[in-house]
Formats: sequence, structure tokens, C-alpha cells
Amino acid sequence: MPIVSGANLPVVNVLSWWGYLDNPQVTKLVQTTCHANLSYDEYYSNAEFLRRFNHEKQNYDVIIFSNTIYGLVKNQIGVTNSNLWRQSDAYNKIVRQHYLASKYSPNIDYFELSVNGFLSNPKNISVLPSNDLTSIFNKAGKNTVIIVDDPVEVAKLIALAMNKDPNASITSSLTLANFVKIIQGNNVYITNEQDSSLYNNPNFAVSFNWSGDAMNILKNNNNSYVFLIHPKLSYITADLLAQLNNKPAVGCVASVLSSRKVLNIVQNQDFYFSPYVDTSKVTDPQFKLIYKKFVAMLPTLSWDDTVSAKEYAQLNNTWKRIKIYLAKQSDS
Amino acid sequence: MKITNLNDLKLSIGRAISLSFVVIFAITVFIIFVTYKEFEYKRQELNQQQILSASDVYQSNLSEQLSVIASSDEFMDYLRSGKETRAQMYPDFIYQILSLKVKSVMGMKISTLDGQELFNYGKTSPDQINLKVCYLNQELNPQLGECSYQWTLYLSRTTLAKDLQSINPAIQECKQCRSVPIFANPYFQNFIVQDISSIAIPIAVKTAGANVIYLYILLIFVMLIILATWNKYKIKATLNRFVADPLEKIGAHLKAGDNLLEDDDAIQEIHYLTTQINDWKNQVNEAEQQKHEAEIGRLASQVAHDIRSPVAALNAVSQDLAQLPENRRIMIRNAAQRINDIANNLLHYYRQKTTHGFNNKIPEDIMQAELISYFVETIISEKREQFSGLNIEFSVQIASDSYGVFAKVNPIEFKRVLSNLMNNAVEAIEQNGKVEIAITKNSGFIIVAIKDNGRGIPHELLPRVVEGGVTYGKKEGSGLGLSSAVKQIEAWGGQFSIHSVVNQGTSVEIILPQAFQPEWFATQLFVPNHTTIVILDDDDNIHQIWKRKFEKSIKHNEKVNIIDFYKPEELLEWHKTNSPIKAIYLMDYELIGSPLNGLDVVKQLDIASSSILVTSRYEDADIREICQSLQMKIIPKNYSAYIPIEIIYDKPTFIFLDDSEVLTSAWKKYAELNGRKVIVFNDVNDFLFMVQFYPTDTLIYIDSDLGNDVKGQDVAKNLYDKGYRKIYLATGYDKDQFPEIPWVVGIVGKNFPIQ
Repeated sequence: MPIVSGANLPVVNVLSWWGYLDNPQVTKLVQTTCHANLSYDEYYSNAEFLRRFNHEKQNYDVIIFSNTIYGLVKNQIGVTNSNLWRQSDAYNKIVRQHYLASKYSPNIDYFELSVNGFLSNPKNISVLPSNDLTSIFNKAGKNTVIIVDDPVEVAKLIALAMNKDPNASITSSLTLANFVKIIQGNNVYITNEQDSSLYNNPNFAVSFNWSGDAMNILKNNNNSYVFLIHPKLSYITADLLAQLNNKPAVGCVASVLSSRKVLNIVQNQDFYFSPYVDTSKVTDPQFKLIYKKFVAMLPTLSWDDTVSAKEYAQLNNTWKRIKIYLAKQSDS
Repeated sequence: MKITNLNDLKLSIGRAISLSFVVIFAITVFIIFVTYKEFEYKRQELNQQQILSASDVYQSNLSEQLSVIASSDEFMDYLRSGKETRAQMYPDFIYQILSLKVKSVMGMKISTLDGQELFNYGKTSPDQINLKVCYLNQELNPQLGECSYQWTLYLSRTTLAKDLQSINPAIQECKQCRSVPIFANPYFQNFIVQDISSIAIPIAVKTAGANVIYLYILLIFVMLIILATWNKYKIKATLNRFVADPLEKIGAHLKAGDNLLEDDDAIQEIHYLTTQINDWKNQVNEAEQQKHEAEIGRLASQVAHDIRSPVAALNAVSQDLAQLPENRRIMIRNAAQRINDIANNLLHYYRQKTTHGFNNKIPEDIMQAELISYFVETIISEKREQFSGLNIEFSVQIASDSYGVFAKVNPIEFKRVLSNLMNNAVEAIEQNGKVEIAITKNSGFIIVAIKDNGRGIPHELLPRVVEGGVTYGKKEGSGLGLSSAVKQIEAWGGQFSIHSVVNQGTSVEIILPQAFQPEWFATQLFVPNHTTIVILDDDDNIHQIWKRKFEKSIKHNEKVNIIDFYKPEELLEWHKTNSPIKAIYLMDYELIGSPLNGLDVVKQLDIASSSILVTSRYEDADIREICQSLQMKIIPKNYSAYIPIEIIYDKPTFIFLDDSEVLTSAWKKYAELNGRKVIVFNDVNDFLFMVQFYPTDTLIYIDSDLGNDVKGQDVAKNLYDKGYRKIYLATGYDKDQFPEIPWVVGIVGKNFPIQ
């Protein structure tokens, strides 16, 4: 393998969720495989992704984003001659079925999968698979409850909690009234930050997180918390990787980043699940445990929904109202 | 401090002033020093506070600006971007960074917490601030946010001082100043301060007052010295001018035997002060002496009062001792006179030492009606005492109708005249002799005769002796005494006569017009038949006098009921159950052993209209005033033995009031011859006192001109108001000369009205 010097190599610019590409092995693998330097920008929320993408999409070669907002960007990421889709052949069977059913563009692959669930502090609360959403919040009492900062994810959670028709739009589920009814006066925070000191607070009771974030929080707190993949309320969310142009290095880098090899590295880094569902390379025992649960529940769990721009705008609007409501509650 | 002389005084004052100056100076210096130290401490504290405040403002301002930058999308995107994007965003990012308008930030560096440098700009410096940048949901949140970045700011000390100065212009950099630590409170609002250099810069707050205070202190200091010095010399000059120099002058003049300079104000003042001090000293001594003598006087007065009553009794008794040999009667009378003299002299002494005597209230140019017998008795008592070493007999004869006679004189001058005339009489007696004084009344005049059996005055010298300038038989006489007495007597409307025979004696007569008795004086005691006489006196002698007098006055068909009381409480108790319709109360004033006096009892029982005060203190002006206000009469106690008592009809045919004794006597005689019961009065006051004992249907005749400007019609109006309706005006004038008088039945002449 020739020694590759990164100085004059073309740069492939990636916009990705934070923490996905931090592992230097990934950068190095990209450099050695594609003779290109990997440069990546990170975002913390779908809203931030959309803002940056809409403003600077010409600067990005590859984007990694949530499947929930695929409907908002799919018209801007079409690349006809990409072979990226071929990597889905190696996906887990159930995952592949879902990939195919989603009818993504050929320049789109799954990057990683996640399952959301309830991370709880057993000192303050005991969340059982049999508990519905209302009883979980009820058990939290006046302790701290944290919810992921994503209106689509929360709308889906409420829809599941309310046993809504899976084929119906989730936008009607997320209303201020429904949200207030569920939280029952809990001390609620909305954030995606997994390093927030909120989790170290002894009053922390329960949070609704993506599994990767939950794993990081577990590790930061010496595995003193419990993560539950709820049989009814948990669902799978997917992050997509899209190749945005036909530059040779870009196609290569996109392929490398969505390859089993890289994702095996990445999943040990960010604790999300590779669409290849390969547990053999998982090193962290806690993650392995969750991973196995995920695998076990994979056939029964529902998947996230992709929303339209209009739906997203509506959900985002409601979400802002909910945040304002919580801020007022907090001030009073 | 004992000052022995003037130099010591001056030296002592000088020392005291100097010491005071030093003490005030020391205290002032101490106060200024303490105040200055306190001021300096406060000033430094304030300056430190100002620097800290400026530092806080600087910190707050820097923190705010950093927060604005760190909250921008450009900043967050830059931090979260890869190298490629950061390169593209660099211009915009720099633009954001340059919006930081804090000059003292000379450079900065942004890196991830694991050390990856994301941004580096400007110069580095050992003075730096390391901040953690934490986000929660795209917003800075040092409490709950995820802290992924470190922001290092490099500071320039020089520019930092200027930044602080721009916040507070009073702050200035100075090389010599003590370095003041900045960022003592490491708080940067939306960031976590990870590390901050210990930055101290030599700055100070320039306060305008810092130097001014020295000026003020100096000014106060100078003013104090000037004031103290001025005070010192002013006090010294004043002392010299008003005390030291005059005293020195006095000393020098006295030493030289010169007269004092009386035109010198200071000497005059000292002289005045000395005189005043002496006067004050004398006044204090006199007051003490007077107090002492007043005590003795009061005691003497009491003794005199106590003596007079038994003497009066003795005199009364002696008049009835006809069965005794004459030499025995004379012995008793002389003994009584001697006791009376002692009493009079004691009282005289008391009056001289106190201001209670009525004589002291009367100026020498005022004339008033005075009881002549009182003055004669008083003077003769004095003379007996004065000439007790000589073998001279003094005797006084007062006719019974003359005892209560008044004349208008000046009491002081009258006593002086009497005294001089009696002295002349004594001096005319060689060895043994006799001075006789007699008081008689004749046709509206009172005659005081003084007769001695001395050497007499030759007939040819008498006119010159009376005119003055010539004395006879007196070693040191000026010859003015007799002529002065004559002038004085004539001034009172009187006459003076002298008759002398060599080797037989001289007699002089003072003839004065009789005056109306004052309202308070009872000349005669009229007692209606069947009247109750109530006597209150603590001395049984007085009770005995009255008893004998009434026994002598009552005829076979007349009767009065006498009730004796010795204590006022007994009378008060008796009066509760006994209130006689017809009663006359004879009340003593001083009642030994009781807090009440006779006037108190009269007031309590409301019996003033039927009471007479019998007292030896009748000359007391206060008592007279009270009696006049109560319309009460007074009987001098020594007069009680002589006062005529007349028992009058209780049911008269009529009552007649006229000032003419001839006419009233004529009416009375005519009435008796015709079997009529007529009561006559010459004195209006006696009439008004007595008329109350008669019913309102009593027939009354009143003269129209009662003398002393008293009109009969006015007295009639007084009676009419009291309910009397049968009143006639008896006048010598034609009835047509009178206007209509509704309160009289008619106007008649002076003829006896009833045939």
C-alpha cells in the first residue's frame, strides 16, 4: 500500500451528524482507499442539517442525515449514475427489505440504524416494557425527564403511544395538548446533547433517546442507568448517506463510508447499528447487549416515517410552541 | 489655683491660654491625623472599588460580546465544520471575530477540548483567559450544555489599562502605582472560566479631592493658629484694659498719695463693683438682722397683746375702787399704767422693726383721721421709759368722751410734735417734777394739754421761743423745736397755745379740729333691749370687763343676755343650734391656741353685719381693710373699758338720725317727757349698724345733711332697698328744694314730729 500524503489529495466534504466520523481510522481508510482527504462538518439536529444543507449544499459531496427528513431533500440529491445502492445487497435481510421498500435513489445508502428507547435512572424510576407512555411520565413525578430534540421523532412516539394508524400521518399526533397531557407537569428538558450535565443530576429519571446517545450516556455514568427498547413505543430510525455528485473521489468515499468495514468501526464509536447488523465486531459489552436486543426485536419494531416539507414545517412549528410552553413553565 | 497678686493673675491666665492653645492644637492635629488616615483608607478602598467595578464592567462587556459571537450560526458552524468548510467560512468567521470591540484582546485561539486547534488569530500573550464553550440546543449554556470547545483570549496589559480607563476615565496607568489585580471575580456569564492568568496592572484612580484635602487641612490648621493667637492676645488685652491696668493705676496713685482718676471708666467700674459688692453684703447682713429682730418683734407683740387685756381690766376695776384710800388707788393706777407702758413700748419696738405698722405706710405729707388718745398713750409710755432715770412723774388724763375722738393729722409728724413738746417739759424740770397730759373735747375740737411744773419761761421770751431761734433752759437746743411744732399744728388746721410762769411751770395746748370717725371705728355701743351679746375672746379679763360694763349700763327694766366663748370652735359649735335673731357679736382677733382668728369665725358664720371686732391690733392696716370690706366696726381693746354703752329701746316710736347732737338730744329729751321711745343716732355708721335690729315698719326720720358730704336721701335709699318703707326726711331746708324722692314717705322739718 503506497504511502499516501494528504497534502495534495482532493478533499471530499461531508456533512454528518456529530460524532459519526470522529474515528481517525475512518479518515485514514478513506485516504488510503480513495486517495482523498475526508473533511466533515457536523450538526446536532435535523433543523441544523437542513439549514446548513440548504445554504451550502454545493459545498458538500456526501451528506449523512435522518431518514425522517428524506422527503425534504430528496429532490436536491438525485444522482443518476451512482452505484451506491448496490451495497444494500449485503444488508441484514429485514433491513434490506425496508431499504427496498423505501425506494431510495440509487445514490443513497443506509449509514446507520438506531432504535430509540427509554434510558432511566433506577434510583428514581423503574420503566417496564409493560408501561405505556403516560405511566412512564407519571412515574417520573417531579424528577427530570429528557426528550430528544426532534419533532418527527416525538410525533412518532406520541402516535405509537396513542395507537394511531401506522399509515396515517404523524403530524396530527404532535399537538401541544397531547404533549402536555403526556408530560403531566414533569420537569421536562428537550435536548440531543448526550454530554449534558442534566444526565449527571441525581434528579434525572428518564429520557427518550436514540440508542447511540443512550449508550454514550450509560458509559459516562458507569452503566448505572438502564436502557429499555420498549416493545410498543420504540421504533427504528435510519440515517441515510447520500452521494451528491459524480466526482470519482466522492463516489469512492461514499462507498467507503457506507461499507461494512467502515460501519463496523463507526458503530463501535457511536454505538449505532450498522445496516449490515454485524455484532461480531462489537467490542463494548453493554453495547453488544443492546445490539442483541435490537436484533431480537428487529422484526417486530416499527420504522420511522419520512415527512414532507409541509409536514415537517407543521411539526417544527408545533415543536417550537412546545418549547416555548416548557420555557414558560420553567420560568414560573 | 491661688492668685496672690496681679502678676500672678496675668501669669496664670497666660499659662492657661498657652496650655489651652497647646491642648487644642494637639487635639486638632490628632483629629486631622485620624481623619486623614480614615479618609485615605476610605479613598483607597473607594479607588479599589472603582477599579474592581471597572474590571467587572470590562469583564461583563467582554463576556457579552463573546456571547454574541459564540451564539452566531457562523461561529457554531465553523466550530462544527471540517477543515475544508472552515477554510471556506474563514472570512465570515473572521468578520464575526472582529466584531469583538475589546482592544485589550490582542489574539485568540479556539480549539476542541481534546486539543485540536480550530482557529488562531492575532498575537499571543502570557496574560490569557481560557473559556469553555458549552452548548445546549444551539444555545450557550454553561450549566447544562455540552462543553466541547475551549476559547483562549490573549490580553495586552497596556491596552487593558486603557480599556479600563475608557470605562472609568479616572483610572490611569502609572508606573509607580501598586499593581492592582484584575479579574478578581472570574465570572464570564455564558462561559465557564477554565483558567485565567493572574493579571495585575499598575493603575490608580486619580481623585481630584486627594490633593484638595491637604489644602483644606492646611487651611484649617492655619485658621486655628490664627484664631488661637488672636484669642490669646484679645483675652490678654481685655484683662489688661479692664483689670490689670486700672488696678496698677490705682496702686500707683495710692502709693503716690494722688487722687484716683474718676474720669477713668475702668476705675469707675471697679469702684462701682466694689460698692455694689459692699452694698450686697450689707443688704444680706441687714436682711439677716431684720429677720432676727422680726422674730423678737413678733414675740414682743404677742407679749404686749397678752398684757393689754389684764391692764384694761385693771383700769376698769380701778375706776370703781372708791372705797379704797386715794393713795392705794393711785398706786394701783400707777402700776396699771406701768404695765401698760411696757406693753406700749414693746409694740412700739415691734412696729419700728417691721413694716406691719400702719404708720409706715403713710407718707409725711398725707393727713388722715387718727385716734389721738392712742398716740398720746403711746408717746407717754415712751417717755416714761426714756426718762425712767429721772424723778419725773408722767400722768395722762383722758376724758371719757374724748377717748374715741379723731383728728386729721400726719401720724408721724404728730408723734414727733408730741414727743418734742414732752421733751421740752421734761427738760424744764430741774430735779423732781411732774408732767401731765390731758385730752379733752370741746365744741368740735380736741385739746391735748401738756403741763409741767418746771422752771417756766419768762413772759418776755415766750413770743420769740414760739417763733424759733431761741431756746430757754436747754444746753444744746437749737430753738427750732417749738416753732416747728406750731407750724405743723397750724398746717393741720389746729391751734397752739402756751402759758408759762417762771418757777411754776409751763403748759401748752394743741387744739385740733375734731374729725369724723372712720367707718371702722365704733364710738359707742348701742344695744337694743333684750339683745343677746356673744363675746369671743381667749382672755377672761375681757369677758369680765364687758360683763361689768353691761351691768353698769343696764337699767332696771332692761335686759341683755351675755354668752361667753373662749375658743372659736365652741362658738362655731354653739351657732349650729343657736342662731338668735337679735345678737351682737364682740369678736377678738387673735385667739391663742386656735388656727382661726375672729375674722375667720365671722366669715364662716356670715355674721359681719352684727359683729364688732375687739382687738388691740386695730391699727393694723390689713385688719382695717378686711373690716371695711365686711362693713364691720372695730373697738380698740384698750378702749373697751371706756366705750359708752347705751341700751336702746327694742320697740321705739321712731328712730332719728342727725349729725347734730344738740338736736338729737333735744328730740330725745322731748320724747322722754312725752312718754315716747325715741332712739337717736349722730353717726351714720352707728345708725346703719343698729337699724338692722329693728323691723322694716319702724318709723325713721333722717336729716338731709349728715355732714362729711353724706346726704340723708342716700341713706334713706339704702334703707328703702333693705325693705324699710316709713322713712321721712327731716330737714331745715324748704321741701320744695328737693326733687321727688320716691323712697321717702315725706319731707318734714326739724320740729319734733309727734305731738
